[in-house]
Parts: sequence; structure tokens; C-alpha cells
Amino acid sequence: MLEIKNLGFCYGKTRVFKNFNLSIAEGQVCLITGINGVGKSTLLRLMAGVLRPAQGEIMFGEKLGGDPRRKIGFISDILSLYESLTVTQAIDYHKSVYDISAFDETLIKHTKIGYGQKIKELSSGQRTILHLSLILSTEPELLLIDEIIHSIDAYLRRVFLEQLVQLLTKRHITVVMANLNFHDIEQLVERVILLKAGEIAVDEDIEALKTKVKRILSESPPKSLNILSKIDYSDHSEYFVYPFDEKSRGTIAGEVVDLNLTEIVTAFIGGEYA
Amino acid sequence: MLKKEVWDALKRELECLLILGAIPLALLWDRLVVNFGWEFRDIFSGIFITTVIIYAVYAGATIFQSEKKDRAFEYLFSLPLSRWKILQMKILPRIIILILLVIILILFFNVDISIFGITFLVLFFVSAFLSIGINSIVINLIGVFMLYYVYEFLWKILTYFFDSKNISIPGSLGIITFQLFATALLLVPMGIAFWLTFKKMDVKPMKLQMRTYYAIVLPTLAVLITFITLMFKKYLLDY
Repeated sequence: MLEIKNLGFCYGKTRVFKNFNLSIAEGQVCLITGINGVGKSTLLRLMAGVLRPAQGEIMFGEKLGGDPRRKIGFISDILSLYESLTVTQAIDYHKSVYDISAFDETLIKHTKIGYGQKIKELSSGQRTILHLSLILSTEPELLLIDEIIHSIDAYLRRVFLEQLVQLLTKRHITVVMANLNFHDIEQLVERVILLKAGEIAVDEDIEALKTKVKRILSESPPKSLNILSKIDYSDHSEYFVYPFDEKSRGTIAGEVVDLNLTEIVTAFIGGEYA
Repeated sequence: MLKKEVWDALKRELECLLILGAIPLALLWDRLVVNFGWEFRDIFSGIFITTVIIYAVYAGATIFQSEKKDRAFEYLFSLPLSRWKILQMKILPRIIILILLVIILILFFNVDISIFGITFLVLFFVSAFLSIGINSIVINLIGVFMLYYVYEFLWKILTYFFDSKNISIPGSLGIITFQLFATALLLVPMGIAFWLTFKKMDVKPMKLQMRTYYAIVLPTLAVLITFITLMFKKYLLDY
């Protein structure tokens, strides 16, 4: 579906990516994460075509056709829409550009958005819903979602995620998300990509990652295991280790605890700041 | 998209037409203060021509206004539209309205459009070509004002230059020919610089994307201004 080869990109003299490579298979749901400023949003913008690589190329599968943007749904972290348009005008504009007749009202009907309201009058959550509705109306094959879902309330987030699950089940769309609310999307994510200094530090399937990242409650650091980060308490410490080897379980003096996606990502990011 | 751009262009023209509100003030000024005996028609034509000049500059300066104001470049560039299509949609409605205004000037105000018509287009395109790297409309207007004088000097100096080489075209045709020549010398490099920049433009800060633009426009202006200065000196010596 998506192949990035030798990608190079910089903002002026600040290099973000150099010889970056990534391949995402059709129908996969990927989470791109990493500390602030590592290039997650930049990577999504490069995939969406709103930033141009300084070197290398981003190739899309044949399914996306001549102009891949027709089949890419991109919602960025800055909610870029024409704010002076009304909701109806924005819908008409989007429909005319994509040459589609129907607008997907599934999300918007759950909100109190008025069709005559100007976009600048909407809250950031309402704008997100409108933008997602516009994107879903075009039936994208590749959905790129930057960390914006936080801005919508819990109910609408659930409605959106339910719709996303339907799309994943029925149409096998590919989804790439950056640093979302991990708790909400844990059931959807299949692959986690951790960026560090413009390179991929970790690239694992979610199930593999759950077996490899553990929390160890112990008074002393576990020997022969790589510690990502730790939290000290008065009588013991929590050590987040990666990669954890099941064979070493018996030799560890302490309790080994499984982690959920939020805890795993927090452990990696905590390690970056340590 | 075309609908939005047509409406944007009409809004710009309506904003310019607000200047017509100065007509009653001008009449009052004449009747109560200066007593020049101005007729409504004279004032109206003067102010209407001014609105067309302002529209030409304003419409050019604001071709990316909604994207800049609404931070909508990201949305626009994520849409399946080629850069050429975007440019067509941006420029065509504005040019069509400008041409309609010029037709009104020809039909109702007896303006020598063979000369003025080129000026309006120069103002529009200079303004549009400058707008890519300039966010402030005021700075854009100052830039247009300065480049308009480059254009004015250029076509007059060209007339003199070819005249001195015994190549002259009499009457309005001569003026139009040299105006078109000056227009080409100024606008073609600016247009190429604009297109090359816009074609590769993305959502990075604009100051990081202007290298090609400056690499073409600045040497062009340096050459044109040097030519004007040298020829102007020669012209002054001759006369």
C-alpha cells in the first residue's frame, strides 16, 4: 500500500529525516509514536503530499490510482479548513473537488453542528468531526490521522471509532495514526512504530510488543535486561524493560507485569526523556 | 472550487466598489468648498476608474488570502487538485471580472483602453506574482507601486532606445508595442519564478521556499533597473 524509500526531509537547516525507509501493508493499522518534535506529524504530512520530500520517494499501491490524494484521507493536527465557509459550503466544496454526490452524515448527525454555521464558529471538536465526515465521504483507502481525536468528546470518539472499525472490517482500509489516545485505539492498532531522531527505533506488531515490553517491580535493577525507563518508589522501583525474554522470567528477582499499549508507549517515551 | 473563487473575487470587487461612496462627499466638497463645478459623471468616472485600478492590485494581492488567513493551505494541498488547476481556479475568475470592468470602462467612460488595458493586467499580475511570498497586503501594494514604476520607466525607455536606433512605431500602436515588450520583460521572469515556486510549494514556512523565486526575480530586476538607469542617463544627455 505504502512504501517510503530513502526519504530525506528538512525544515531549513533542521534535518528531520535522512534515508528513512518504511513499508506499510494494505489493511494494516499503524500507530506512529515518539517524543514531541521527532517528526510524527511531518511524516504524516509527507505521506499526505502536503509536504514534499527533499530526497527519496513515497510510493503508493496501484489501488490509490494516478493521484493518490483522491484515495487518501488526511486530518492534521492544525485542523486546516476554509474557516470563512459555512458547513454546507465546505461540504459542497469538498464534494465538488472529489466529484462525489453523497456526504457521509454518520458522525455529524450525532453532533449539534448546524449546516448554516460558519466553520470558524465551530469548536475544535466539532471541526474535527466535520473534517472526519468530509474525509469519510470520499471513501479513502488510506487514512492518515494526526493526534487530533483527543479534541472530540468521549461519546463522539466512540462513534468515530465504531465507524472506523466498520471501515476496517468491510473495506480493509489502511490506517496510519500518530500519538492518539492509546486507550481508545488499543483494540485497533496492529503495529507500533516508534520514531527516534528521525529513524525507526522500534517497529513491532502489537502482540509481539506486548510480549517484549514488561514492567518489573523490584528493589534492584534486573540484570541482563535492557531498561527503557524506571520509576522509583520508597521501597521498590518499577523497571520497564525491552526486549524481555521469557526464558529470563525465572531468574528475575521481582514481579513481572504485562503492559497495555498506553503503558508500553509511555515506557518508550519515558526512556527518551530519561 | 470555482464557485468559491468566483465568490471571493466578487467580494474583492464589492469591497473596492465601496469607494464609490466617496462620490457624494466629492460633490459636497465641490458645492460647499472649492466650487470647481464638478459634474456627477466626471466624479463617478474618475472614482470608478480608481476602483478598477485598486481591484486589479487587490485581486492579485489576495489570490491566496483565504488560504493564508484560514491556514487552509494544508487542506488545499491535500485535495486531488493539480497546481495548474488550482492556479487556473484562482486566476481565471479574477481576470474575468477585471475584463468585465474594463469592458464597462470602454462602453461607458470612453477610456483609451488600448493603453490602460495593459496597465490593469500588469498591476494584477505583478500583484499576484508578489503575493506568493508576501503575507501583508500593504507590503504587497508597496511592491506593486515600485514595480509599476519600473514598468512605466521601462516601456518609455524602450521607446526611446528603439527610437535612437531608428526603429519607431507611430501612434498608439507604438505605445502598445513597447508596453507589451516591457510587460513581457517584467512579467515573464516573475511568472516563471512564481510558477516554479508554486509548483513545488508545500506547507513549510514560505521563507524556506523562496530561493528559486529570489534567484530569478532579483537578478531580473537588477538587470532591468540597471538598463533603465543607464538609458535614462543617456536620454538626459541627448536632450
